[in-house]
Amino acid sequence: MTGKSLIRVIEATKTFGALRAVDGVSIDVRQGEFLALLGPSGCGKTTLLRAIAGFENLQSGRIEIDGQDVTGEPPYRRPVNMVFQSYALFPHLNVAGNVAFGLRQDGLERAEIDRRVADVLALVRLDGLARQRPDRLSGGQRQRVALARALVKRPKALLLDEPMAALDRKLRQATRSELVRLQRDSGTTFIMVTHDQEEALATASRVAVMREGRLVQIGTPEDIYDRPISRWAAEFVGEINVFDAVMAEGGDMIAPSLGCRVGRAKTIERGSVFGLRPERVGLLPADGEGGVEGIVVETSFLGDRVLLRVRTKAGGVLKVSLSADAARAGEARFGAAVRLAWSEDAVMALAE
Amino acid sequence: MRVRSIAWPVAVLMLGCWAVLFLVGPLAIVFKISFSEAVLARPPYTPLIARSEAGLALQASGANYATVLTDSLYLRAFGKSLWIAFLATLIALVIALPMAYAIARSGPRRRSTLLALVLLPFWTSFLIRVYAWIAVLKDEGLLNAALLALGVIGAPLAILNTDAAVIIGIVHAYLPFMLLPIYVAFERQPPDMAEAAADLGAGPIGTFWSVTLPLAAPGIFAGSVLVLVPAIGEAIIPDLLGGADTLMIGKVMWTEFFQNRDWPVASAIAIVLLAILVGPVVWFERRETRRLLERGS
Repeated sequence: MTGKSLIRVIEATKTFGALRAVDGVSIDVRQGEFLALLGPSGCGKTTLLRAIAGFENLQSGRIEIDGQDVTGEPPYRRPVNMVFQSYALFPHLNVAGNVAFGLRQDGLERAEIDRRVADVLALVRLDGLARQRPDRLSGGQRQRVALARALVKRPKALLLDEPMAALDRKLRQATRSELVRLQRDSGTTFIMVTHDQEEALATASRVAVMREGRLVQIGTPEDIYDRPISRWAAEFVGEINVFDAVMAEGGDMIAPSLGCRVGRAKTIERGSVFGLRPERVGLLPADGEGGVEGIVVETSFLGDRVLLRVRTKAGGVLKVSLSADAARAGEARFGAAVRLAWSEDAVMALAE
Repeated sequence: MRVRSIAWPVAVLMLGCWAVLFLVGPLAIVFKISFSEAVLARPPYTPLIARSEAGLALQASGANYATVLTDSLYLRAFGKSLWIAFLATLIALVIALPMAYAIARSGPRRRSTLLALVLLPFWTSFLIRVYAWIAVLKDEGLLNAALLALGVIGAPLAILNTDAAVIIGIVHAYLPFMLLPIYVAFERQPPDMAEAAADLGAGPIGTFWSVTLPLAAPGIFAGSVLVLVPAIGEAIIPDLLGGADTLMIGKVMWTEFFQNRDWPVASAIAIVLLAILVGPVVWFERRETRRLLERGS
């Protein structure tokens, strides 16, 4: 993950009227990485992607691709290709025609075009469908045509705008691993826009979290999940319990809502709040000693996991995520009294 | 089961009444007359079923069709009509295409203004618009006066009473019918089609030719049919702007009917014209319906 920088976005700003869609964002995209641009809708991630593709002109800032300043260049002169959210397949061309479109623009020879189209269709496993019209294909097949059409150009980077938004849940799971495989096999740099944090964490080698046009945090999925830079980032990516704490004698930090110690004062550097991921909380034997006592006030069964809401004796509510087995063994049913415990390093201090 | 409102039977009834009263009925009458013979009487044709002492006898004759399909006058008129209508359609297409594209690509407010301007001529009677062309095209008309004043020509051009004048008249009168379907076809195209083309390396011209224009093909086809079909049967424009040799079938039919009082031949011409036009139109309709069904599935 120390590849050289391929795309440099430098202080990019794009406004639509009064809205600052992208507000002074700088990102270095490294050669060969799979970068996810993650954020809620309206955070500017798609605008940033479209600016890299050349569909949006920046008010200020620059974009460099492979050392070349492409800031004012139109899309057809940029060595990147895009997979549109709608896939934007040409309905008047069949699958092979769609895939060959970009190569024809480059004026390649027919034999070369045919060979590369066949290769890329094999890569995305659409070999048998070259003569089909796009409107005869399933959603998953259409997406793979869109991928093939962009990849066949051998772009320096492949830009994906919510590539899985139009697929149903089951297909999305399969497509994720397909994307990761494609990215690895082709060695192409991928930049994917998504609002789905699970998707971003599962596929990307690095995740850039955006909010209101600004870059909040960029790092590996583990960085983003385990070391969120702020309370907002922690709450946006995954589930988290957030609580206040006060300093007690001896430098211990006590959370009033939980009625327990959550850490040492010296570990607090930035924040006044603390976070605890639900899956880091475990059960102690209910008839034993220690831990935080509480009553289960809500359960939801997800098959492999069980989500609990536990009201502590001190009055706070903790979200707890247990494996189904652990929940069964601990008899953590609705209304049951439980003892909760977690390791101290699971508690993170969060900047407000 | 599909739920239908009360409006459904009402709509079907209205459509049926309209079709019978103004399409099927009159057509049946014309069809019937086309098998009669012209006589100096009132009505000016022989009855199809004759009553005689031997009883009722069918006296239908194909003679009118034989005349229409063999007499060089009618054949030339059919040929000329097709040729003039074809040229006019082509010219209308060349003019309407960039206009439609420009309107579809302009902002929403300017777009509605431009569309209103396209439709504005309909506020004036068709006949008056055709008459206006006489004033423009005649030897001492506006066009010649302007060209003479500019020194482009030395003597007035004889445009009025030629095929050219008829083509100009048809193009002007039918341009909106060409423009509107093409405009709709451009306007409905998702913007990401052109974006995808640009992303894949196509410049503005390449994008237009390889994506935007092919996707507008149904609109271009519809507009062309909407101009071609009425232009072939056009009677008023050749009558007012055409010359003695601008023999279009619509005008011939008019002459047969009103001047020669030969209703049966006029009817036969109408039926033949219908047969020529119905084929392509039905084919087009079928194709469009099939395409829509395929899209929906």
